[in-house]
Amino acid sequence: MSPASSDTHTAVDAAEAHRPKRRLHPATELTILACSLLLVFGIPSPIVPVIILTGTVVTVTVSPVVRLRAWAMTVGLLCLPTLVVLIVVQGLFYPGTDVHVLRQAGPARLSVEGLSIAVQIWLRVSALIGLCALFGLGADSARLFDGLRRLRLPSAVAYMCASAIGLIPMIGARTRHIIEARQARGWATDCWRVRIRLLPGIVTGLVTAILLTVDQRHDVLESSGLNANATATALQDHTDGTGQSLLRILTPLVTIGLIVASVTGVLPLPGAAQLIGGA
Amino acid sequence: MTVAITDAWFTYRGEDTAALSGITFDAVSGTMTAVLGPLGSGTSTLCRLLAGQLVSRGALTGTIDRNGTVALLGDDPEAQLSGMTSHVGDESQLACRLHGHDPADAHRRARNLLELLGIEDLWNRRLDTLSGGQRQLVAVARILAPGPDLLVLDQPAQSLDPQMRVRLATVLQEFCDRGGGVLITGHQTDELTRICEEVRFLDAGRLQTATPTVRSVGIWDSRPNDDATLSTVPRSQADPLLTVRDLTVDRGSSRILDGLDFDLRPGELTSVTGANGAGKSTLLRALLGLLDRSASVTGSITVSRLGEMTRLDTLPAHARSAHLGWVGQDAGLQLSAATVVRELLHAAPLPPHRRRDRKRVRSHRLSDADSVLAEADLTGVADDHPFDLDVARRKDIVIASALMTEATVLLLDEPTIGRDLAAMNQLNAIIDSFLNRGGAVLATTHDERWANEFAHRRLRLIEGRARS
Repeated sequence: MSPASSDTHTAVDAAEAHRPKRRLHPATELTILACSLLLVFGIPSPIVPVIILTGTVVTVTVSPVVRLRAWAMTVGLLCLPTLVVLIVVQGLFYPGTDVHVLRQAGPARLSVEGLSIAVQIWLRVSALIGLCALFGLGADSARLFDGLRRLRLPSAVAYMCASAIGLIPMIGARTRHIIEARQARGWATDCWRVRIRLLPGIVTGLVTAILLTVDQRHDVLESSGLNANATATALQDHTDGTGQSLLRILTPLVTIGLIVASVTGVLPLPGAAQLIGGA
Repeated sequence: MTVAITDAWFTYRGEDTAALSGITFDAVSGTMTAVLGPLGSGTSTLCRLLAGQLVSRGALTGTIDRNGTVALLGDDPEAQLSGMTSHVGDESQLACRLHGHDPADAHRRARNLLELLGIEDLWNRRLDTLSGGQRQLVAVARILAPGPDLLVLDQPAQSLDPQMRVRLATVLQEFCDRGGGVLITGHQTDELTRICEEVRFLDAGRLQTATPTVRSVGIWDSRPNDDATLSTVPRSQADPLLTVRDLTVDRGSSRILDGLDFDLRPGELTSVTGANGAGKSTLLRALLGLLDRSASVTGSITVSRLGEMTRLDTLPAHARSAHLGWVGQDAGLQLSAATVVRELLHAAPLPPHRRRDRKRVRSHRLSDADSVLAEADLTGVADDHPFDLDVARRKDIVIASALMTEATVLLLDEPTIGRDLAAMNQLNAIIDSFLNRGGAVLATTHDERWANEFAHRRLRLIEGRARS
């Protein structure tokens, strides 16, 4: 090897060292994701989603892969409107009769029961979105594909799921490009009124682009060897080992144990109504 | 022999006429063959036929014998990456891993290929930060890494600079020396087709038996002509329409453009050439104000209209469009309407008007669209979906949509990609017409011949600086 190429490889290796090496295997991440969601929806206490959300925020903060700003924007954009809708529908107009009213103004009444349902639903939805955003923003299609195949899903199913997650950044990029193209033709796309006016055109273009891209990507993958070998190796390098294999077995068992304990009353966690109104 | 086609006829579903007629062709191991033809002649269909991608798309007769693996690189620059990965390293190993190669072997093969192609420093780069040419090279590395028996490349050089084409030619030659076969198709002759042992011509779906000249079958010759001089049209002495001074673009710690100074004068085409990734597209996007927040842009951009000077660098992107019409590298990213004519009708906002005048304004817009369609020779496809047209025609639609604005300066990013002789003439006619109306054009290109023969002024970007 020439000195020049050796130098280049050294530079490349140095750059490669910046990529996170001690990251969990995607199959382990998927197992933790699924178990966390099971806990959030299986145990009827707001404490669980709060713990999961806190854990998610801490993970995002220390993660070198997921940017906190992107994660916060995604979660905020999806969760804040949900919160407003839930507080209005459940918090202010809870239909029950036997309720503890905290404040009343005309037909709207802020009740402990309505608020507790709103908070419970919102925390669960936020935990769901937060966790999925953490995984989605930190993984590309190949990573998800590897994870699902390690979990013994058929390649066709893994490919479909991986293609679907690959559409998320594609939709984002395409939308940016379409808006950029409109800007370059004089549309003041910074203004929301203009964006809303352009929305039908943007959506039409987006749908066409998605359909075309899915087809083209499948052709590209087919000509690159997809379906050529049933025993294809992982598409990316991941760290794995006995510890992680054990984690993938134990996490679901612990999750099921916690849910059973909660349902049978062995694990008495307070509900939302107790926390809000002390009922 | 890797693939042998005997008397193959192929008709796309829903079409009456055959896209390929009576094709008899052998792709032989250890040789490089080129099949050239004008747009619509069936070159891309032939590629897909060889790669076995047409089975479900229409009716095929004749015999195709494949004695080995065939890898295909499609012609659409926007659709050459898999979408499965985010980084160059992962993308270039993808095919090896899908074919079941050991990860260490896949890694070694991909690294070697990137090194041979001179892009090893891109290993850790995100794919969405690559230039068009870099993207194309990564796609070549991906399909070449597993060592297929036959490599089918549809317009592989279209986004590459001349040096990179020569480099790719060397890599392909070595691949053939090791026993691989290469088939190159396209609408232009270039550094890659020059080294092919055999060049055949396809016309209206039929392989020609006689040996015609390149021009007689409608092929554009993009190879630099040493005898050519800069456009013989006299340079304009008029005041510049656009004046750029000390334009600098930084992205993080790296300087992309370093203090560029140039003027664009009415009636003049200025070409911008430079290596892949030299910052040509960045230059156009900086002028338009379309660079993202990670880029810092300094310098002055001034436009002159009717003697009035306007500083564009202080204006938002949408306000700059009154002076600058942009045609990006990937035309498909700028198209979103269901028909060509609708794309033009909705290209730009209608001018301010009262509600009672709306009918008149819309009718005026329709007549503008009709005249632009005629100017760009798009009238015949006005009701077609833009994505049903080839890459060159899609680019023409975006150029036409730029002509729908009042812009006096056109910024064209790689307008020559994927064009045959007729499409190049069409492009030149559109540009000439715009220049004759007193406009100025700034066009990036890797086509040295086109730049030599048609540009009035030339800028070459080297390490962020402009050399005339």
